[in-house]
Parts: sequence; C-alpha cells; structure tokens
Amino acid sequence: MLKEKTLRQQQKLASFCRTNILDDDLLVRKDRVHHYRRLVFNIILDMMETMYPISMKLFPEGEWEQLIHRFFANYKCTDPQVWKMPRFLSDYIKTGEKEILVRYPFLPDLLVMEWKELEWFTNEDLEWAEINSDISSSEKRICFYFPEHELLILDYPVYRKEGPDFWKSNPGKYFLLVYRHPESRKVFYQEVDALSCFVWESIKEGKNKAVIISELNDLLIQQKLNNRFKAEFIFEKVWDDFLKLRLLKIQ
Amino acid sequence: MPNAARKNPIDSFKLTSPCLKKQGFFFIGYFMVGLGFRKDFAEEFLEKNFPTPDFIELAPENWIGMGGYWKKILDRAADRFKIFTHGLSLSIGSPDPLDIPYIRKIKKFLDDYQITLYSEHLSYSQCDNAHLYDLLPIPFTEDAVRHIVPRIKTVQDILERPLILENVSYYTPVAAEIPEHEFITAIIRESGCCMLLDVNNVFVNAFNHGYDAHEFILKLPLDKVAYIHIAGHEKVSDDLIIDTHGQDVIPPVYELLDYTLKFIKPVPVLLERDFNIPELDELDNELQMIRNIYSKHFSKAEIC
Repeated sequence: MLKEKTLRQQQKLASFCRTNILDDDLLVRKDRVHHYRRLVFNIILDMMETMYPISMKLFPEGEWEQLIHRFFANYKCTDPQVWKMPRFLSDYIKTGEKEILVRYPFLPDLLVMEWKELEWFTNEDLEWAEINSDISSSEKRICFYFPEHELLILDYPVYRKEGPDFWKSNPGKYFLLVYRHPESRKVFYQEVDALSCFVWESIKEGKNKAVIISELNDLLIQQKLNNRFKAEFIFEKVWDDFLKLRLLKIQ
Repeated sequence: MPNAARKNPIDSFKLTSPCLKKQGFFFIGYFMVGLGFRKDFAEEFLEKNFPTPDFIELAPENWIGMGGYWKKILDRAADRFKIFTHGLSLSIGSPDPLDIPYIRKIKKFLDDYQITLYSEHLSYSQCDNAHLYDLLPIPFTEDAVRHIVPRIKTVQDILERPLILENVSYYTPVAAEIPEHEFITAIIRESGCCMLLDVNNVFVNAFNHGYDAHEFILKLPLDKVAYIHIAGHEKVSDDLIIDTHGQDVIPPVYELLDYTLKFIKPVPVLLERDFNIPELDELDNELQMIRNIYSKHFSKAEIC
C-alpha cells in the first residue's frame, strides 16, 4: 500500500537518526532535520548513562558517547520498551567492538552485572516455589525457594571493589548471585563458589538431599577435592546461607 | 457552535468488529483534568496525596512487565486514580508490520488495570526492524493514509477499545504531498478512530511552519476529539520551537486551549510534564489554570 517513495523517505529519515548519514534525496528541511537525531540521542544517552554508571566512567571523555552512537547505528534494537534497550549493549560489544574488548575485556561482564540490577529491580513478581519434600532431612516440613534470583557466570571479577586493573588481570570463572529481597524488593549481589551453585541448582531441580550429597561427593572425587563428609558440610552451608539470604523458607 | 461537534466522539465510537460490539461501551464520565504520572515524582505524589488531578495518565511501555517496587507504586496509583494511557511505541505510521504480540501485551495491561482510554501518536518510531524510541513524522501522503487506516482498525480490534491518535509536533515536513490537516482528518475519518488534540503541538507546529494555529484547529475533525493534551515547550531559535514537555505551559497555549474548548464536547484534558519537573505545588497551579479554563466552558452537570 505504501508507495516506494514514501517507504524510502521513512527509511532514510530513520536511518539518518541512527547513523548520521543524511541522504541527499531525503525531502526534509536540511537545517532542521538534525534535531530529530539530537532528540533520539538525548533519550538513548540518558538511558545508557542511567543504566551503566560504572561502565561509562571507564572511558575517556567523549568515547562513551561515540560507543553509544556506534551501537545505535549498527545494532537494531527490537524491543519496544526503551528501558530494555540498554541490555543489547553487551551483545553488541561482544560481536562488534574488538578494539574495545582488547582494552576492556571485562566490559561485557560489567555491563551484564549493571544491567541485572535493573532487570531484577523491575522484573515481574514471582511466586515462592515448593522444593522436594525430602530435602529437609528428618523433618517433614514444606520448603520453598524464592525464584527472584539468578546465578551469573562471569569471566572477570567485576563485582570486586579493586577496580579495572584488578579485573583485567584476573580472568577466570566467577559466580555471582543476584537476587531481589522478598520484603524490601531491593536487589543484592552475593559472590558464591561453584560447588554452592551446584548444590543450589540441584535443590531447585527438586532432587532430594541424599541424591544431591551423593552427586556432590562424586563431583568432589572427580575433581580430587574432598570426601563425603565435606559434601554434607557443603550442602548444609548452602542451605544455611540461602536461608539467611531469605531465598529459602521452611513452613 | 454546531451541535454535532459537541457530541463526545467516544460515546459514538463506531464499533466495527464483533469483539468491539461485544465490549460495546466506553465511558469517561467526569474525569476531566489529569496529570501525566511520571516515575520522577511518583512516590512523592502518592505520599503527599497532592496534587489531586481527576485522573492520571501513563505510558504503558514504562510499566508493562514490571514487578517489585514499581508494581507496588503502580498498584497504589491505580487504587487511588482513574488511569488513562498514552503509548509511545505503537508506531502506527511505520512501514514495518505491526508488532501484534506487543499490542496483545498492551491489551492485557489495559484489561488488568481496567483502563478504557488508550491513546497513541500519529507518527512512527520503528523502521527496518529497529526502534528509534522517539516520534518521527510520517510523510503527509495519500498512500500513507491508505497504509495507516487498516492498521488502526487492526489495533482497535485487538485492544477492543477505540484508538485515540495524537497530532504530533514536527520540525520539518517529510516529502509532504497534502496539507497536514487533510492528512490527519483523512486518517481519523477513514479509520473511525478518535483524535487526541494536543494544543501545544498545534501551537508549536503553527510557529515552526508559519500557519495560524486557530485556523488550523478549525480544520481538524473536532467532532472526533476525545482527549486533549497541553504542555510546555522550548524556543530554541527565532524560528523553531521544540516540544520538550520540560517547561511551564505558556499563556498563548492556554489561550489556544480556551479557544479549542469552544468547539468541542467536554473531554478530558491532560497536563504533560516529562522533564525539568518542578515542585508539585507548581504542577498543581498549572492544573488549576486548566480547571479555570475548563469551567468557563463546561458546568459540572454538563460534564457528568
């Protein structure tokens, strides 16, 4: 239904706003059309600065803005909700910004960590989920876990206070729990170890205590780390820790 | 003033599909002077219980899918106020296909909060599968009218509500072939949707493009106006105003509202303030200004 000419005009205006490339055939007032790009980037830059205050400070003056301009020119943001737009930045950097990645190899992790704070602050409310009734040793009590959390696996310790030089020089595997507190609804981070992650995921999968300890023990043997006693100890510690974090409750 | 133009267009909204006929009813009642509900002042606004607009308006995009703190805020607001909505990302004038799953999310949001009034912009914000997150002007062409009209009907069918479309501000026409008022009128008339008349946008456009705002108002389909917006703007040069929603409403825009109300049925009027938000008592002063103008034209009995 749209004529080719109308379609092209709309595409050229939208493309100009994203790329700053003004097609001579775009039939607009050339002295005013730049306001559209300026207004678009007022929104985009404001949103990015709000979302990524730590990442932004890594960059010398002007470079962050240039990065966001390149991102918006090259990456098609498909979500109609503008507040969800910043989450695409990490994906873009991983695939489209090799030079930035050399300078700041931890940047995708840092962006994810910053994004997750907002995501979990705003995520839809979830109901407490029941855990396998055999989990709680001798007592037959009903246990629930609070699903408003996520375990992040990071390649750099970007949650540590030491800062960019430390992050860059300590690549590895890091596990970070991000969760929304059931009462205060605030978002918190907590560093966890790999074995704790294994136990926690097993609890949520509905395995009973005996199975989890057995599997954990196998894992420890496989990794030449420990014995059965330590597996039980790890399980109990995870159980206590998550109770303290209010991500577990027993009724 | 002609009687036909004084009929509330939402009351006579043409129900074009079985689902709309089933819905069959649209009601505004006495909710007349409202305030844009923004996260920047949401908590203070609810705590102080001040100002006290007749309704609040929010952008569904900013609230859909939210839980936690913001859901609590929204629920508190919904307990206290009638909510109207003003969308940002429908992109009714886009060359891209409509985002049907997203429109269904809007529908669910409107149903969940029992919201009857959903308005949007006669513009586009998505192109080549990329969102711009701002409102771009549609070329004023007859083929654009033919492109948009069936899209409006689709949206109305999914939402089971009339779509109310706003005349947007613009800083340059884009490959225009017909006058702006003909473009707007054709879309409103041919689609059967309602119009959100933004008097500030008329003022801004009249200044920017050198026409008379009062004459322009009279060329619009005033019998289809279901909702009015008013806002502040910023003059950035001798010949250009930007529609910022970041300043107080200026006297000539109040005067244009006063003028407009002579020709239409009582419909809700919304004060928009998105940036540079002042103290709440200043916003209340602006609401009172609107109420004073409103009461010059309509008695409470007439509104109810």
